Amino acid sequence: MTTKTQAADLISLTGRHLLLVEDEMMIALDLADVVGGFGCTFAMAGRVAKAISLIANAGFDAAVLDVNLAGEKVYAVADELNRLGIPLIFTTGYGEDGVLAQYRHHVIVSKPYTRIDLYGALVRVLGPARV
Amino acid sequence: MSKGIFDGSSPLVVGIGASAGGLQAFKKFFVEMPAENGMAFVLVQHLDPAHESLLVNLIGSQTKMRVVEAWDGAKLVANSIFVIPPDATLTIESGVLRMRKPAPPRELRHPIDTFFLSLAEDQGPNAVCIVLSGMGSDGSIGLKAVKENGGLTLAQAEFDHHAMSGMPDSAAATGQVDLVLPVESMAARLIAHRAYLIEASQHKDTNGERTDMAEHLTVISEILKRAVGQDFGQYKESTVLRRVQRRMQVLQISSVSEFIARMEKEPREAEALFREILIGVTQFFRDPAAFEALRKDVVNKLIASKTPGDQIRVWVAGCATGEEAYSIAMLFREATEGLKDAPRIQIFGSDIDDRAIVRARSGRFRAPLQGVSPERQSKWFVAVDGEFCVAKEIREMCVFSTHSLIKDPPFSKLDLVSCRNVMIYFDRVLQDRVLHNFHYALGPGGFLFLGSSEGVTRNATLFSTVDKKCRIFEWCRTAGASLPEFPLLATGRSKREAAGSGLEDPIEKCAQRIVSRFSPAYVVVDRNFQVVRFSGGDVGQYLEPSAGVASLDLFSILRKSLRPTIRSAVRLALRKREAVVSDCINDIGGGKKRPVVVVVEPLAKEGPESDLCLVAFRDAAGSTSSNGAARPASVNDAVVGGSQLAELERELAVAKSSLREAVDELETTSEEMKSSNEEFQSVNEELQASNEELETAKEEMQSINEELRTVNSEMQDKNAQLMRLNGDLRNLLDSTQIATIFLDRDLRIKSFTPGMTELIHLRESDLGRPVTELVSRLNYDGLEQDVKSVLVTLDMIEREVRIGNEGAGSVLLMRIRPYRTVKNVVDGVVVTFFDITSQKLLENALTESERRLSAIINQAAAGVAETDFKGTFTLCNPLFCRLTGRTKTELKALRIQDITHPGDWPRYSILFEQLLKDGPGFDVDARYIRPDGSVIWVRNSVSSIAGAAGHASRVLSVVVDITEHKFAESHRELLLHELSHRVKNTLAIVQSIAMQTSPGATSVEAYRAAFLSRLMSLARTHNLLQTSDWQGALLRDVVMCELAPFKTDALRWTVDGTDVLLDANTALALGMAIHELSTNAAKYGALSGSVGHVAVGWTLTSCDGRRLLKLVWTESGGPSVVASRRKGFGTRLISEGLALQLDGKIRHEFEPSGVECTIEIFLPDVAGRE
Repeated sequence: MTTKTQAADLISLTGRHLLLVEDEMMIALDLADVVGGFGCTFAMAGRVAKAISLIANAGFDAAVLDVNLAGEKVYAVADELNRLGIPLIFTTGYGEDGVLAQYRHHVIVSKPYTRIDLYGALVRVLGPARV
Repeated sequence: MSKGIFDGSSPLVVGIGASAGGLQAFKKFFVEMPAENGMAFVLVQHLDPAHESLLVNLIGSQTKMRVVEAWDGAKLVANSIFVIPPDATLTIESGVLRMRKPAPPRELRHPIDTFFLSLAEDQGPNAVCIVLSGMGSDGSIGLKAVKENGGLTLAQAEFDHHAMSGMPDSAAATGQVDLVLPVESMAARLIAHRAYLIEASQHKDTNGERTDMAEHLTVISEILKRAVGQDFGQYKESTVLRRVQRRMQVLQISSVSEFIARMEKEPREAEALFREILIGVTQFFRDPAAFEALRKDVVNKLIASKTPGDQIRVWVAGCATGEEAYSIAMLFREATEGLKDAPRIQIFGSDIDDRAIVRARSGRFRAPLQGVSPERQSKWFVAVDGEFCVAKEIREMCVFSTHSLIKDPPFSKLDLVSCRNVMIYFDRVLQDRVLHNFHYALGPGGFLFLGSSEGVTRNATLFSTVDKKCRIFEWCRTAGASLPEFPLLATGRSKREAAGSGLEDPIEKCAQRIVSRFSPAYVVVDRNFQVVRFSGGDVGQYLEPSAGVASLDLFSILRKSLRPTIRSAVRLALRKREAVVSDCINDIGGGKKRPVVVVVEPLAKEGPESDLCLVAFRDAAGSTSSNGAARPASVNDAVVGGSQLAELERELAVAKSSLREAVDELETTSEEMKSSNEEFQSVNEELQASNEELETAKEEMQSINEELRTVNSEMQDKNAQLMRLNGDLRNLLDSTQIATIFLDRDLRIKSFTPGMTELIHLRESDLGRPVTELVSRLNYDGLEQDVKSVLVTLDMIEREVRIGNEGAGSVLLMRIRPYRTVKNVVDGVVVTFFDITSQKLLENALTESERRLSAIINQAAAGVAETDFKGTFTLCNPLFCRLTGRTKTELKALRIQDITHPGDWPRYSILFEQLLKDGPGFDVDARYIRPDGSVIWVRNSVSSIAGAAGHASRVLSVVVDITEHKFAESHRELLLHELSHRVKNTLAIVQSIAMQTSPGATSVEAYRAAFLSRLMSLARTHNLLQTSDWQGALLRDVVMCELAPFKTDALRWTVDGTDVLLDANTALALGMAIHELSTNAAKYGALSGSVGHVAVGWTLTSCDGRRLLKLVWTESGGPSVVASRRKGFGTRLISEGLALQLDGKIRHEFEPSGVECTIEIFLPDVAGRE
């Protein structure tokens, strides 16, 4: 299976508007490149307060949340997203244990992740794969 | 239960009387008696009132029956023994015991009689009484009452070795005892008796009389008449019937015919029945109307007729137990009351029944007194202990004696004879005789007082009727009166002799009649010259009765002429006991004189007949020719006649006159003799009275004696107990090996135990010596002082004293206590010595080891605590107190669970519970909570300490503070976790660097250089952080670090700012930003050419309470800046990324003079981790 055929099989994420919450600048920049590569548009936040302020009228299709933001937990953002029915993905260096039990039903991506990991996760939260 | 019938539904009540020695008899009796016997026993004993009785205990050990001390109101139940308490009187009413305290004074105390009397009354035919050993006659009267009422009476057999003579003897002597048995056999007899009663109850009617008896009564009467010569035909049928029934009960014969057969076979049985019938009934003033008549017609008259010096003599024949005699005495006493010079009253009571007489003498009657008015009762009786005693003045009027109306001569010179309801039992012949006797006994003016169904009709000449209804009669002078025929027994005897001698020869009888014609006339006289026989024939010609009272006196009826000669002849004959022949002249009157030969000869040389002599007369005239030669010459002178005759006659006249004088003198003497005789009789009566008093005194003495014996026997028992206790005590003292010495107040030795000799050199001879004089091995000289102090304070003194040298000898514990006598009087001291050498050694060793242990515990680097099973602290060392932050006292009020963190206790408690079940010791890590709320981690090594019994008794915890250890552990864990996270994070960053480096790289070489440079920058900041253990890094260090690769010419850049400590996150981000800035400066900016300068400066200010860092990167002097179309990675990182990672604003300007970058960030208060 080649990347090309694989890509042909993939559903398109183009035009999807994502909220990226990551405080590690290096990883954030990479993440931005990756989702940009998927054809997605995005907004970025490195702190909880910033992220929540972004959510209000941005019309996000989904969000990628790093769990720990400079010592602050991201769950307030997740709650706000849930309230609006916006799907989300957690990324964490701690693995599943890094997420509070009540949020574990969300898709969790362990750091470091590949673009394929991220893609799979986004597809899972945004809709079923089309063959 | 009907009184007559015993059906076994209630207990058979058995009264048992005993006293001294009774203990043995009681024991023996109850050993044989099975426990289930259906009987209730009541034990009555003579007890000292002041002396506690041990009887209950002593008997209790012999039987399984319930043995209790009797109490008032105790209901008699089967299979129980009730014992009389001391100083009490016991009676029974309707099967319930009644008790009165105190007992009456000793002389009036008859506890056994008292109880038996009430028993007889209460239980009637169903009563059983037993007299066991003891002194005195107590019980005899009660026994009689029991028998009278139809009960069974037993006495201990004389040969029984347990018995003391006295009571059983006395009881047996009354004849009222049905059976005399050894005490061992009584139990079986009683059981059989009870069975018989139950069986016989089937033959009885509701009155308790047998229904199959009447037809046999005639036969029984016949047998009695044959055997004892008494006809009981006139007895009331039921009386005889009940007596027979009782005998059958005693013999345990259930069929009447069998009883008859037994009577015929054994004359003794008939005698026994006869005795039974003798029991009479009497009461005071029986038939009051008759007594009233007696008072009016007789008593008053008699008193009136007597002068002060006179005596009124009354005979109460058949007085039974004396009620009648006392009644009459009371009548007389009442009548003479207030009279001056009243005549003296003497009342004789007599009865054939000696037991009745004993009772009459005692003058004691059971309450209530029948027939006595309350006035009389209070006046003439003294109530003693439920009985009444006749007043002394009445008692003294009466004298009682055993006397048979049938065989004994009557009393004489009486004024009144009372014989009531006696003669009704006699046949007519006997009645006549008795009446004649009474007539003889009474003098002129005498009265006879008979029972209501008796009379004198057949002897109307002897007595005239005074009051017909009341049967009072007066003596009549009568020609028909004769001397009493006594001894009357002779009739009975001759009857029997006649029967024995069989036929009299008729031939001999005829021959004698003819011969008597030729034999001389004679009379037989007794010693007193009373004629007892006249011969037939012409005895009359020698007799010439004198004028005056008719007499059988020989010398009153002999012709006067014969009297002198015969008088001297009779005297001679009686004295010499041989025949005397004398001649004399019989002057037959009318001048006729005939010579007579008188032969006087005693009837026998010896024996009773030797007092009788025969006086035979033979006319000398009728046989002159044949007996002429033998005739004495003096007699022949009478017929000589002539001158001599006149002289002789004169002489005779003189002699006669002198003889007459002599006779007169004799008569006077005789009168005097008679009066002396009377005096003697009165003396005799006085003596008799004294005798009675003595008898009473004797009874008292016996009763005292008995009590003394009882006390003695109990004392002996107690003595034996004391001996045993003494022995026990001695053995105890010897076996404990406690050396003991008893000292008196002056330190003299009273006694000591053998162990004492080892301490002080003591010998038996040292008793009484002061202990201070003796050589002692004790290293102690304060004894005297201590003893005195004990005697003063009465407190015990305890000292340790030594024998021998310090260390080598032994140690003794000496105790000095006051010696208290039984009466709690202090009389000296008791000194005891216990050898405590080994205890001392052990004690020292123990102290040593304890000291060592406590030193170890106190010094230990661990907390040590001991708790009980509930977890309560019992002991803890100082460190433990420190660990828990509480004092020892506080801890002792707490349990281990009280100071343990609640989260740790469940785990802890499971192990603790297991340990208590002999589980293994365990280690547990737990938290203690201190009073200030702080928590400390400890490692607790817990084990149980085995107690003396081998079971765990306490729990020991050794506690080490592991708080730091715990903290370190958790920190390490955290670090490990953090490390792994950080590595992952770092890898993610490296991955991003790798990804982000690639787009700008023109070649692999360029990519490698850019990637490595960035990696190295990251590594440098990491290095910085590592040196501070990731706690942070100084901003200056971070900047210098990044600028270091461009250090070729130091003059080209300046760093200026205060010391700011950055957290790891900020340090890493800034480090990376500085790296990109410096790399770009070196590539395109101020550091790319040969000239140019970079200035890095920062300030730290405070904004809204947060630290605000403002860092400014200013390049100058470099080539002019041309903003590239495409942002490089570095630029993107600074302008986009840095703001994400750090909380602040970034300005990145490409001024023509050089790049200028301003970074304004809020530093976090706490070092961030991500």
